[in-house]
Amino acid sequence: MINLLSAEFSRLFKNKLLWALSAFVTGFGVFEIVMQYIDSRQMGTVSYLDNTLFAYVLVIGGCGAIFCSMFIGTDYQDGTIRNKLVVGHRREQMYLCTYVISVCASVVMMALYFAVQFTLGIALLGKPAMGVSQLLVFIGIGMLTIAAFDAVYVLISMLIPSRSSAAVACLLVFFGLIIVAAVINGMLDAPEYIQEYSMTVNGVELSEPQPNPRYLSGMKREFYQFLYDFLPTGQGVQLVSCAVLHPIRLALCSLGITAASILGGICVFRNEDIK
Amino acid sequence: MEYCLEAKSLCKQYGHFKALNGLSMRVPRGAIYGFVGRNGAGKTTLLRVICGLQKPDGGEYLLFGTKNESADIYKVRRRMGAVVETPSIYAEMTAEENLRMQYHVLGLPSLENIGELLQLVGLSNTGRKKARNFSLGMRQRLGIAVALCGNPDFLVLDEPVNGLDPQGIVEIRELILRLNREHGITVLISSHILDELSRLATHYGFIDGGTIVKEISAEELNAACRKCVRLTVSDTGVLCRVLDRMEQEYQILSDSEADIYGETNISQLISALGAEGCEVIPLHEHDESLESYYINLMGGGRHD
Repeated sequence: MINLLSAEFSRLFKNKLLWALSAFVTGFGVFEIVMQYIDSRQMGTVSYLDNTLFAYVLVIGGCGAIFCSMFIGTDYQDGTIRNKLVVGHRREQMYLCTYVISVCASVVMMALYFAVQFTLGIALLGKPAMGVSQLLVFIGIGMLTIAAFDAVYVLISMLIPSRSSAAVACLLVFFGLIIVAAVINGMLDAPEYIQEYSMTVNGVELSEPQPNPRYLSGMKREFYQFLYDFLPTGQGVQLVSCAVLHPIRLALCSLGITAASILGGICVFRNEDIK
Repeated sequence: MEYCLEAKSLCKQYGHFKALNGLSMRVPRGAIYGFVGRNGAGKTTLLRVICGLQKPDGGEYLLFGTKNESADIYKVRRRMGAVVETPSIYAEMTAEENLRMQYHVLGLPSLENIGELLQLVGLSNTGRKKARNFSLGMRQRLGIAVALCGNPDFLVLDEPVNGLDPQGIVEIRELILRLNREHGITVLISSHILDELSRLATHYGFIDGGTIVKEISAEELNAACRKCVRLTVSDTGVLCRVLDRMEQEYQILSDSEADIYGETNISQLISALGAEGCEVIPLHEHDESLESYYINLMGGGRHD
């Protein structure tokens, strides 16, 4: 396993895609800060670093889809995965090694993003409004969310030998989950009561508040809230808006997704025919 | 005799297609084992199975006496190197970087031998050129160099000269012979190019329909492929009488063709035939090749 990690790390740090994606994530971080700064100056409002600090979760989640599929797919496309199997590396170790490398790539991107946030961000927007402990909790949840994203991408990329097919599948999963999270977010955000506006001779009049038929309540609300907390994209949306209701549940869900993906992936990969 | 590889009743099925159908074979240590068979006969499947890329559905194989289901098989695989189908090399890396990667994969402490290895396969002057810009022959040689990284005792090569130009074929042949003779590496080669294989192999395994039809050493094959004189005559009846009289071993091939084995006094034979009114049309020495042996074998005529 150590030999494999050593080999893969040497390949990782020479990988142009990693540095291209890292540059993109860093650029995105700079763009977010500058836009917040310009907005606050134009509107005369106060902007906090908190608004930009956790946007990385979804960005790196998307970049991870590209990186994992391309990095792992290269091993299949160039046939170099065979070199590891022929000389007696166990498939379980190969799978775990690939996962560790994928998480490390995400950590590199995340570190560069935070470097920008805690230098340029503090310079332009000031320190984060949230306390240190909450900040650390959010950063921890963000890391677990990204680890869950990577586990899913590694699963897909290790089981689909075609690099382009794996890339398409990973991106479809990412964007599919984004759409699902956005829909659930919309459902959960629906107000409990609605009021209708009507124009009268006396001007605009508000009707009596009526129960909103689209409002989710009871078990249904619990279910959708759980789904929102469970999905990595749902977690990402919560972190971006700094509106995390159930931090422990989020962390446990990420760990669950990671563990299930790795175990399932290893089980299938162990018996997969490699060409 | 010690064997690098022993396969016993190996089976592998893809859907309803039986790629390996109870295949048994033995590769003696120190041999260059030529693995011969038509497309789809199961050659590459066998190589994939013994390299651990695929699991057999039935049967077993032993590498250096260790069973494939044994926990020690992973350690034993360290003694193997393989190029299955295409060379397994990173296209975006140079030759040296590819070897460095494999050294890391193997956990070799020193990278000192990389230069030597590149020299051995004739790639020492490729510099910063990336593998994707290599010719097919260069890629093939780099693939072999990667397979040689851990100083293997057993090298598996799948169609190593496929698609190479004549110069490339000679280079690969010389490399394989050097590895076998100077480094004592046992080589298992699958190939379609029988003429090329006949210049290398010390042992042969003929596979058809996922089963080994025949295993034979090069000496046995040479003995089986006897030299003969093939002649076409106007009357084979007369020819038979004359040859019987001369106590020659022969085989009638058709109404006008026959093979005569052993030392033959041609002028005496032609005179004798002429005396009985039988004309000899063409006559030439015939040396049965690996190719004709293979064709006869796969035709089902001579399985023993």
